[in-house]
Amino acid sequence: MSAGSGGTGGAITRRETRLADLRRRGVRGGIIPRHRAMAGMAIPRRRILTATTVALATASAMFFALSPLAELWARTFEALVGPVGIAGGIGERYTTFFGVHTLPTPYFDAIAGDPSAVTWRVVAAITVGLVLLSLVLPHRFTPLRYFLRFLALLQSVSLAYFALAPAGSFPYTLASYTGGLLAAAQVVLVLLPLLLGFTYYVFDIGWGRKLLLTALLLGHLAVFIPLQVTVHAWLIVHGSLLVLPPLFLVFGLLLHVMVFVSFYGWGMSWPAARRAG
Amino acid sequence: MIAIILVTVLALIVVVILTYTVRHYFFTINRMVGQHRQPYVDIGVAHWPMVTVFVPAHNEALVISGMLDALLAQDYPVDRLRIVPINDRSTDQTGEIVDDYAGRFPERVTPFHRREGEGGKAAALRDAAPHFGGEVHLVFDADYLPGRGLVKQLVAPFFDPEVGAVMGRVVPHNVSRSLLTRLLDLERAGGYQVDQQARMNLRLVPQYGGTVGGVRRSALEAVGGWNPRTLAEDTDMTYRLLLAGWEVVYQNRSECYEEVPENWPTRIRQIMRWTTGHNQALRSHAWPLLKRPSHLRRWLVLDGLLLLGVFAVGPLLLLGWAIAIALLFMGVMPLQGFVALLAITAYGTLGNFAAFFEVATAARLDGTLRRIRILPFLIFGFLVSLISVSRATLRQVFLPRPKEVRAWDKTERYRADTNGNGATPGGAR
Repeated sequence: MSAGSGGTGGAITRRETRLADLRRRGVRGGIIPRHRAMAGMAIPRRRILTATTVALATASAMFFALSPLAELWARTFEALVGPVGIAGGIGERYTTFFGVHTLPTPYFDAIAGDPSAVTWRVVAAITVGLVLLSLVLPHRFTPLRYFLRFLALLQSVSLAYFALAPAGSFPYTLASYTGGLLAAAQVVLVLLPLLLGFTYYVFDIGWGRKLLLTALLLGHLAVFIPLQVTVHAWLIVHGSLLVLPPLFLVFGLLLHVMVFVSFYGWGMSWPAARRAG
Repeated sequence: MIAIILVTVLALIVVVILTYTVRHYFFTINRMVGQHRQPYVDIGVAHWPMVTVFVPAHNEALVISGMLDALLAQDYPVDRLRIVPINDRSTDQTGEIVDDYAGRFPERVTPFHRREGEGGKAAALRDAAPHFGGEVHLVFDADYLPGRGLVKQLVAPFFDPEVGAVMGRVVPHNVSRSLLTRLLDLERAGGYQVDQQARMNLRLVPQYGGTVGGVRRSALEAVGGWNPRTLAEDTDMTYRLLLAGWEVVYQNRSECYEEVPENWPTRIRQIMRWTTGHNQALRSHAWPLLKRPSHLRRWLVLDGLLLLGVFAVGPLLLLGWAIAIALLFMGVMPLQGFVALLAITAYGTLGNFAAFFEVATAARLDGTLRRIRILPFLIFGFLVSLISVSRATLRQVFLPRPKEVRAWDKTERYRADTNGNGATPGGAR
């Protein structure tokens, strides 16, 4: 390349780059990083635009993938319903969005009624066992002790309800519960890419890694959710509607959020793009 | 009718929680991309004011030497720095240790021995402060380990005559001791690196935290000195200064290293003490703040109220859960319907996630990337905190025990090799 071919501006830029490089080569070398107290983030406009586009595109793709995914979930349920011992079939309900897009949601169409006297006593004994376990666990397990007590409290409320309320008055069935939980999970699957858009994509992490994390998260949830609902259905069929409230409140949507937080924490531990090379 | 009342109360609670959620997101984004506001920092040469450093110590024999050694090594003019360890009715070797230092450094270390009187850090400071001069009174906890330049960094903001108090950043140094210490390290990072700095950036209410910082003596005297009737003399001081027109500033660059609790019983006691003190400040200062003195901006008042109410959110959240459970059993909690589902899931994901976002961002800014992997475990810390905060608040509301206000509720120290056992050391009173 001739001296003039790159233009004067280019030559100055190269010289400046060389000089900057020389200036940074001090004793013990390298760039002195900014102290963490002063550290901030530059989010270029281009990254914001890309983040927005990718988040919207992923959420849209997820939205339109929900129908085939629901079909896959329904087949999973059909394959599992016999082996795990749930006496019933698989139903499907439809939700229409904005009068345009109709989304199917499968559910377990099986009988799960109020608890029998034996079931009630067994669950009550397990609840007492949880409280006792929380009392004997050493202090270093304090979070687990609190969690067990919280769970026992929720179950106790349910026990009290089924002991006092008239038979058949519980407002949910297995079908409405599993269908509702799956529908909520479908909404979560569409929301999560948007959440990643402004809490993860804005960071200086390579786009390959960002997309990988998104795919891993959504893929994990797509497999996890039907298995979770199957476990819930099995527990409700065998443990009656008595166990539904704690399952919904503690092991329902909250579990999806925790899966998200786990992946997010992992992704946020990845180095910045320039250092990652 | 009952359902309507419950739904209305739940909706109000959700509004409050959402306000805090928005605050989390806003502060985090501000800390990421906002312009950083730093008070005077890293001034090397100046006409340094006379400074008195108070170290309240009740049975701190295990850690007090480390603190005094660190203060003696400070890069601050020797003739302008007075070190005052306050031996507050200790029953261990604390008194002998500080006397030994005073014997060896008579020009620099002047111990203040309290042999009687009310217990508690605020009472100790109230008794000791009038006996010592100096334009600036710094206060450190006895277990802290300040770096060599910290006193200069904390004093520099006082060159601004409007500054009444300054607070530095607290960084745990016993991080790798247990899961709890790792979780507290993340929480502290979120609280200081993001929360405090964002409030500083936005000219809101950075909190004087009472353990790494100080007050201008004239400001202290103007607002009536330390208040021994509170368990959170720091929060109390923040609001009294604010209402009196002084500025409180946060200095993110001024790091001091602390021991965080290494076992859960100690942590629970600590957070219950903070809750009680903070709620006392809420009771004392919410109304004066709401009346909005003319020098306080509207946003500052709002932030001040939100900060005051931060520990009151715990029981509110529990009440919200209780109502949600009641509504679930009543069949009001919808499990069907797009709008309801969207509302519930959006609240569950976006709302629950805000605190995790703040903490992860703080750790990333700190450059401690691998620590972020334990992020999901924070939910256990939140659960313990939520219950502890609620217990303390309910106890305060229904079982007021005024004697507690005047007691040292000490945090266990671990300068030895074990994780401690959660017992209160030295028979704290």
